[in-house]
Amino acid sequence: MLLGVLLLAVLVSTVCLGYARHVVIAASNAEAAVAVQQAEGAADSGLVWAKQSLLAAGDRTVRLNVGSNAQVAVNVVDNGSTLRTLTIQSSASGVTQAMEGSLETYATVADELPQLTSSARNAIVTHPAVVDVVGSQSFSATTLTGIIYLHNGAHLTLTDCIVAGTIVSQPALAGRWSPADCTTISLGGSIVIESDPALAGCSIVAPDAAVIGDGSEALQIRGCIVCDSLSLTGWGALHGQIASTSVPTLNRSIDLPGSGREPRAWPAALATGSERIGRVSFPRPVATPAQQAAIRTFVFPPDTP
Amino acid sequence: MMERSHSGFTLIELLVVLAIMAIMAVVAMPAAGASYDQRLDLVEMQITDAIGRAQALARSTQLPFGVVFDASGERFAVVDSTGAAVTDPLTRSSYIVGFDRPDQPKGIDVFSAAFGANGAAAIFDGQGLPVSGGTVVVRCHGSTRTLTLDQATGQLASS
Repeated sequence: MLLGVLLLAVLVSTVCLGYARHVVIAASNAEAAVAVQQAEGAADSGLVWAKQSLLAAGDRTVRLNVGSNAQVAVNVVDNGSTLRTLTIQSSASGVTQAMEGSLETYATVADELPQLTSSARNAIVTHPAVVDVVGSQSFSATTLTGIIYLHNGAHLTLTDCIVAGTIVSQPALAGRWSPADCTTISLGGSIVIESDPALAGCSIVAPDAAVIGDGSEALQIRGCIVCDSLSLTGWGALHGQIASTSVPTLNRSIDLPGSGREPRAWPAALATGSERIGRVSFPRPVATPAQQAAIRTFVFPPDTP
Repeated sequence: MMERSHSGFTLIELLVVLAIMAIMAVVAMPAAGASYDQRLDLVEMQITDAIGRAQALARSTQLPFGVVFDASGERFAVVDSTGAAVTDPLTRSSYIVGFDRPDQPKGIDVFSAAFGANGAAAIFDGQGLPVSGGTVVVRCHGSTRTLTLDQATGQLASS
């Protein structure tokens, strides 16, 4: 009987050890994951502040507490010419975890947004499928194809629509406009806006336009947006960059896939030589060949059975 | 007049011992070899834990970590970017798990481990994403378990 009990004890310890490690590691990994998320949140907070700090000239360094156990340090360095660099470092929960990001911005003339290139303007003028929007015009539960062209002062309302093309305003084509020429784009319901092949990657090019969601909008906007103001209170995803004169107002339920991860190229139809959109990147810490070799050539100790 | 002997166990004592033995037998049944698949479940959990540990350490420190398999020695280790085994949070010694140890399920064979150019090492970059995907094949007598590490997501799938 004693032998049987001993054998069972060994077998029980086999199971217990495996599960004990599992429990310990799961708890430890969960703590690390929380710390990483806190640090990412801290970096986001720092990024918001950093963008604001660009308005001030000169070098600045600030350390902020963004939570009970999370800090973020923002360093602004003027690299001369029109380039300033930001470095954002964050840490959380007292661990050495930190994220770094850099943001490069190019000073521009005020209120100047990316503009259509001359070839893009020609493509619009000669486009075979143009939907003219004059005055107030509404579309509901339909698919619009080609160039949706907003004349000066137009108000376009889309409800449950698919735009298999690009929305372009007359001021975008002309390059200048008066306040009376400004257009408005209202969105509601399920909205999908792609881009026309002639303006690949551009969903809305209307630097004069106020783009407004009514709160019911479920958006999928595939290309970039150039507008005067953007206020979306529904949900969905904006896959392209946003260039607006005023700071966009976006509901937290609106996802920005890829935003802030790495610099992204603007569509070829837009001239961005004077862009004032900050490009943010979190450099991916790669495993160097030497580090990979060190791991790969790990030698198990001989005393490990 | 002779006194009656009181040596031996009472019925209560015997019942208690039998109950304890029954509980221990039920708990230990998986490791006792009742099912090879159950042994592989335990091995899969340990490998998953090791890979999760390497990913968590990589994300936390922004340095590469890896899990190195030794198919001939039936073991694996969690290794940092300097080539040293990390500390096992349970035992506080090197995070090296050998399947021929007495505290591990019997009959486990790490048949193969292949992760692209890094051979038998699953390496994760500073974001916890694998440098390359790959597979680990573990066998227990007639049963086989294949663990596939997805390069894009870092997820470990079992089949």
